[in-house]
Amino acid sequence: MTGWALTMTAYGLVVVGVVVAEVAGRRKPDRTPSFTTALLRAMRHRSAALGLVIAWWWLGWHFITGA
Amino acid sequence: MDSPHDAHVAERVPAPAWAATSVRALLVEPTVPILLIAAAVQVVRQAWVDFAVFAGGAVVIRWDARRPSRAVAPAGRRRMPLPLAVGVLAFGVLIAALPRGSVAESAALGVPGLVAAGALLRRRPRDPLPEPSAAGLPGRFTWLVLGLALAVIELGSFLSESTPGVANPEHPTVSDLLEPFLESPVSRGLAALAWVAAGIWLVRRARTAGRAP
Repeated sequence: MTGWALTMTAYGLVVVGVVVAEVAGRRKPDRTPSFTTALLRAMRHRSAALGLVIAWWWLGWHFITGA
Repeated sequence: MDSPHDAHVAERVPAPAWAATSVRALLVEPTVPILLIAAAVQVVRQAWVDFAVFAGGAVVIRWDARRPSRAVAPAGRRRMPLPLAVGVLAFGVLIAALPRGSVAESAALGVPGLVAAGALLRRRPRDPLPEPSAAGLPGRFTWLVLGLALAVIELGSFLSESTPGVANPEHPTVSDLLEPFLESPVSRGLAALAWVAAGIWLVRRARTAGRAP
């Protein structure tokens, strides 16, 4: 397996994990939280909420400017 | 008779209990350590603006945690006002029109961050909120694990670059994969629009957040 294929497989596994976790969170919310639920739960704490806003701003700036 | 030093030793918390307390504190409040790790990665990347964002963010969060809290009723859900929705659309058009990587584009992208910071820090933190009843969910760490996995792959790809910032085609970062998509002004405008809309959602909810218990 080439390095490119290995990296793409790893990214692919994360994407599959995200889809599975989101579907599981919507079907059985008492076992796994959906992404929105997990985000809202984390954001109950002010420091996490501020950290997520910093991460949001940096991600947008980083990707859109191509910095 | 015990010396003050002996009394101090007797009051010491046993190492396993201290470790358990530290791990628990880290799980409850992991934000500052995560931001400091992200800042350290930016030093390796030699990306000094990014370093300032993460390190500065950690300092602001520590400062904010020391402010006196306030007691307020939870805010209800509100729809986005029309002028704000029009502003978000106009922002997407502006980003699509500006040359990519220009100073004007960077400055325009900085505005939502400054507005968000102002909207959040203008108000003092709320009193601690009660913990959600579903805190013991078996899958409560699922998203944390997925996020960590993505961070590890991204870091591995970055460290494989012979020169920081120069893509290694064998191990692309997420930025390298998104680059062709974001080259188009239309895609960039749509991305900016979605980004600002997500930021408004985050800031609205972040304003009701309480201090950690």
